[in-house]
Amino acid sequence: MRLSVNFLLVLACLLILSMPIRADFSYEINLKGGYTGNLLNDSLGMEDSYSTSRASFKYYPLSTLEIGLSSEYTYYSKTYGLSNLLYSGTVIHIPTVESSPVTVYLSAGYDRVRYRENIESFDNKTIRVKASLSYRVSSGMRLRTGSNLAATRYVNADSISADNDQYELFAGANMSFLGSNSLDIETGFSFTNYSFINDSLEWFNPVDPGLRDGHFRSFYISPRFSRPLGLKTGISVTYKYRHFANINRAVVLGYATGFLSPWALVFDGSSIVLQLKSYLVPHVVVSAGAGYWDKTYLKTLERVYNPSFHGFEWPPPNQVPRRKDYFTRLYLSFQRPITFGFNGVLEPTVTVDYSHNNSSLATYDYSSTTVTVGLTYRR
Amino acid sequence: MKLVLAGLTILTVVFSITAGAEEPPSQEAILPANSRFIDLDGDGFNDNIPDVNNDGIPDFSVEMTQESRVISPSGESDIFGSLMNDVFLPELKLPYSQKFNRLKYCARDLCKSRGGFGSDEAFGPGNGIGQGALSGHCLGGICHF
Repeated sequence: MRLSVNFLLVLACLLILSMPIRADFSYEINLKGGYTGNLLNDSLGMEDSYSTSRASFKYYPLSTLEIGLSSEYTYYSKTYGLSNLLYSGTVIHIPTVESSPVTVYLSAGYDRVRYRENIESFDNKTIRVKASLSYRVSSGMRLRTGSNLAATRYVNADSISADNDQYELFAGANMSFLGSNSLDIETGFSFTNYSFINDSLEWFNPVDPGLRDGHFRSFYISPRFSRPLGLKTGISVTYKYRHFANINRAVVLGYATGFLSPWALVFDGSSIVLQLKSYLVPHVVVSAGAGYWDKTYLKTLERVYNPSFHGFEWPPPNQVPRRKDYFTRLYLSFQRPITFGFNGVLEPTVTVDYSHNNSSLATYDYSSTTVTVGLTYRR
Repeated sequence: MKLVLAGLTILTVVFSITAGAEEPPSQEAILPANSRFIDLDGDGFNDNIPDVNNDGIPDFSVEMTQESRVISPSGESDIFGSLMNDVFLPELKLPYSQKFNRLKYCARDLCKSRGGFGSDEAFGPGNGIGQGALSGHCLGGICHF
């Protein structure tokens, strides 16, 4: 640890000494506090309040290069062990010029998440790489394509078996038509590896789960329509369909009821999202959104409560049901940016968020309301 | 079926509001006649409306020039010319952060894609609430690009 701190200090000194005259930096400080009526997004409905502090720093050694560092700590007042520290670094390089019809975007990043006691087995690190380019066909039409790579590793010795590498290829087109209407279509493929249990097993041994390496593929297509409503209001509707292949014979380990499980957010199906942004109230940004998701999850093995002996047990893998959810989410947000000298902006934010889920598994029938108040200063 | 109904409801609301919305003044009205509407970030606003004080709110009252945000200061046409400009055109006095942000503006449709294995539920400014520090790219080890 001491070595890495010294290394960072030396690196910072070298960066400052090698700073070109027009090299500069920007930074952002964010404080956020909130209350959620359902922290774990399940039928237990565990309430909690939390606070998050975040600091980020961006350095520009060249006009085409951005180097960013950020750190974020979240504290949960009741579920203290879930409190965690996230730190990350990102480098973005855009080697093309503004007037060119071609834009190239390259980025690489590193994320590290550390939890407190009892949950440290979820500590993980991720490396992200992205390369993409767009071509301006005309003033009203642009094409784009690119690829993403993310490699995630769970770092502790007793960590869960969910290391994975994700690859993604995507292509899209954005076009304007009939005045102020915009249509954006994107499609892509993703590939990842994962560990699974054969779904024909009639019993499960948690000591030796017999996990096997697998691969599955994902295909998606997503059209988005957007347009203004009058001068100061904009609206967009986004539809997305995602389909998984190669998953029929697999059962994955859930490790926990939703939330931190590597599979908590992996599902295929369709969704439609309506978003609205308005500047009608002077100096205030009002954002609102409504979304509906039709989700089918991977078959996930979770411990279930057995009332006959008042404890949890593992069900046989061949009896794991497929989980299907219908999820609705609404939000309303107010932001009030206040400008200062030296390009500083102070921005208070209030957000109210409501979600409701109907699931084929009763454990995941829930509603949740979250209220968050935040303050951001950026320069 | 529910999804279809939800979609139809949303589209009906959108188009009924659109039909009933006051057309003038429109965002096109403040732009030059030969400036095309373009919305790469999907917020429903013309991306060419300037934000002079950089507070995140477009300045609808500011008259803007054609493609003013995407014309290179030096007018160079080669694709990878900006690195050379840093060395050979010292008269371009913009700080690097501002020059980079202009480049990033050109790449606003490339910064984030809608695919991957991760959830896309986290839309809007309140995303990641309840997940706290996990509001970044990855949640539980699954990343959303």
